[in-house]
Amino acid sequence: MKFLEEYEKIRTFFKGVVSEPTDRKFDLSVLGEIAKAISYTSEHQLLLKLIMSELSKIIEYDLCAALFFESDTVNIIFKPLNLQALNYKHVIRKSLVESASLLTGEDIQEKEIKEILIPFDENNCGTVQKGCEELRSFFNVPFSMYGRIVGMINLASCKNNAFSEGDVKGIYTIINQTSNAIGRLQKAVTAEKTRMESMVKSIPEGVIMLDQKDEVVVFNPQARMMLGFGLNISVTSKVLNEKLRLFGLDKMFKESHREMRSIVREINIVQKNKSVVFRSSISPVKDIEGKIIGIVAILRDITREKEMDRMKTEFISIVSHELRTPLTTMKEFTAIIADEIPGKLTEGQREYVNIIQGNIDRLARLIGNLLNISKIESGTTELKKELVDVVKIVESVVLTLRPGINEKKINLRIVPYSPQIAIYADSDSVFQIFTNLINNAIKFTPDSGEIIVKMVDKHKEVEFIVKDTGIGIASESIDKVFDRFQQFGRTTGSGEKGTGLGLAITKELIKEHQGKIWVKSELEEGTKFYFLLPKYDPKSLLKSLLKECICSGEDKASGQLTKVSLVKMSLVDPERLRQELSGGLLDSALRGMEDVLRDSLRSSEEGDTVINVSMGSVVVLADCDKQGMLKVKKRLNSALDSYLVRRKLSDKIEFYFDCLTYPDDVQSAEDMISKVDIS
Amino acid sequence: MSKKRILVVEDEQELIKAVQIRLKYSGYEVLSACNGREGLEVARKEKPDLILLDMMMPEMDGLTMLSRLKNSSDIKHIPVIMLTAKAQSDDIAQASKLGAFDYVVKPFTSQILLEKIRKAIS
Repeated sequence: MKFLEEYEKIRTFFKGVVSEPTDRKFDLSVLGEIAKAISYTSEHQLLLKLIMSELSKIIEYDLCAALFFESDTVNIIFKPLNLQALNYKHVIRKSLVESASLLTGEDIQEKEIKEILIPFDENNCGTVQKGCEELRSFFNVPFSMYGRIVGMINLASCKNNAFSEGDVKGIYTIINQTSNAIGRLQKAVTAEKTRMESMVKSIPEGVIMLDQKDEVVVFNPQARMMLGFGLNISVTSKVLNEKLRLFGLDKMFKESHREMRSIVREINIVQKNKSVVFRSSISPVKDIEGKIIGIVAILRDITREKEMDRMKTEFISIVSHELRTPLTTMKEFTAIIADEIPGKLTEGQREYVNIIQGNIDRLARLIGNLLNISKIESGTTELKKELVDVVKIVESVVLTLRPGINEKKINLRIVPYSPQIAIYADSDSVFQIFTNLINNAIKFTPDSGEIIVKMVDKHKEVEFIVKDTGIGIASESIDKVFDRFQQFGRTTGSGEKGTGLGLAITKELIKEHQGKIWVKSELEEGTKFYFLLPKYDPKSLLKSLLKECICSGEDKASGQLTKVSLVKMSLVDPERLRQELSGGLLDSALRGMEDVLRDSLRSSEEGDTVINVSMGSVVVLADCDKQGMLKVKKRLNSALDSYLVRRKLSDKIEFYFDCLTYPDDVQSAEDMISKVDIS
Repeated sequence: MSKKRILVVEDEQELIKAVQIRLKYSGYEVLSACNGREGLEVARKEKPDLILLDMMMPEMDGLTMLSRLKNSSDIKHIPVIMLTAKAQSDDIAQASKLGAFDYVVKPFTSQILLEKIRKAIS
């Protein structure tokens, strides 16, 4: 806004100049040009050059020169309008330097003087003077900013009495008002900059801004401290960029720039032997037209938050264990009383002991769930993702919940789209997800109600729907069903009481599987929980695994290419096997071979995975070069051999291996997959 | 046939008492120790038919006692059932690697405990 105000002031002033009769020469277009220029630059040199060339349109001169101070140097710009005029450069220079010295009281001669020559255009050099033998007229006009002389302009001509008093006065006014305008603009810009700087300085986050050439634009004290620079050390762009590289921030900068979006990530760094965690948000900086002109990074030290989080999780876990011990004693003694070991119970005593037992069990479940959720949150749950048949899992869940289902005479149906549905998941988690959802449905469904567990094929995922004809959830509560300790409605019947954590755990578990869960409900009509879990698709699984291996390897700053090997085990002549062996035997042999492969992998190091494909298995060996792979292959070979001997199948089943190593044999993850025949 | 003898190694005295009542009622003879060091001594002296062993105990914890027991030729044959407050933890995997027969998660029900005991000394 400041700039607009200034611009307006300048315009008004120039209008004033034009209206004076003595200055009629200074037509509006010239002044307009200058005013326009001031609105986008506050650099003296640029403006002077502009004024000098604009002046040539309204005043006849042969040479125009302008001296101005710029920090410690003295600059003189020359604008000749013809070749001969250049001969007088030194005369004008001498005159300008002497006058300026006189006016400022400084010996300018002593200073470094830089000459800037504006070359003239021979085809368009305005008023060409013929026979310019000597300078007949010239004048100097000083210009000042805040009362201090900052420069001097000179106009020279070969003609006698070339300049009128009006010319001198006009130029004096223009040049000085321009200077004042520049001064005010510079002040406004500086004020704006200071305000921004003090704001950036006072926020607790570290701020770093780089321009397109990786030059530092903003680098506040907090960022300095965070990156381990002292406050008094001057940090060059080069040093800062090296530091950013060290912390892996440079990659995020590039990613943010490339994808034109903000990136938020946590980075761990070790500083002065202390481990520090930053949350860094990196965003591209765009100009008005949307062009990226730089990148800004906001760093927040979340070490303490992280630590608090960890402590909270640890606390919950310790407390839960400590709670379990006395609970065990209580439970056992109550059971002893209930079993009438010490003596017969009266009717009333039996009822009360039952109530105590019910509540002990409820407390036990609550502790179990608290432990579960703290484990999921702390990221210490290890999901053993593998190929699982989700129909089978749901059936076993229903089997364990059967007593409750029968008691309420609920009609429960499982509606899969295929008798076997393979998903890639941790079977314990899937079991828990379905247990929680179906258990809820049973609890909230009145006697003789209906529960349907439906599975829908959604291309790359399976959609599960657990639908009940229960009491439903009020619309104002529906957003909170996945929150902790939120319990809605009363359970019907006598079943066990909830802990308020079941759905929170369910949601976390589904999230851990890259799935999502949502709910639709109608009061008195029933509730439908929907969730998605990734389907088991060997090809896309292999693709994502390989990509993960290859990319995570490239992230390592070592610059060394990561190696990934792949071993595919296939059965010889599968068609014949299918005919000779019963389906069950062949399948169980294949599953057995798969287990053998899994067990004999190098101490099951992270990233090594077995994926089963039709009539074989693919083993992905992360971070494993050709030599390592050959060793593993040998081991797998002998393990499979002895397995087949053990199962007395060695004369029937034969197998072979195909092997590939990235980057030795293939260029990319896609390349690798296309070379392995997966059907 | 003489009664089978079970050694309960657990630092919670009251829990020992509860387990003792239950096991005696089910026809077992019960010995007890309150930490791993004492548990090893009793095991060596009495050669029980089964050991119920708590994981977390002062002085010597369950896993240490288990590994010492399995390294002593005179008592390594005794089946051990671990009692633990941590379900699905690394400790359980560790215990089974060291040769524990089975485990029971606290708080347990008497039926499950008795069933596992029967399996271990049948």
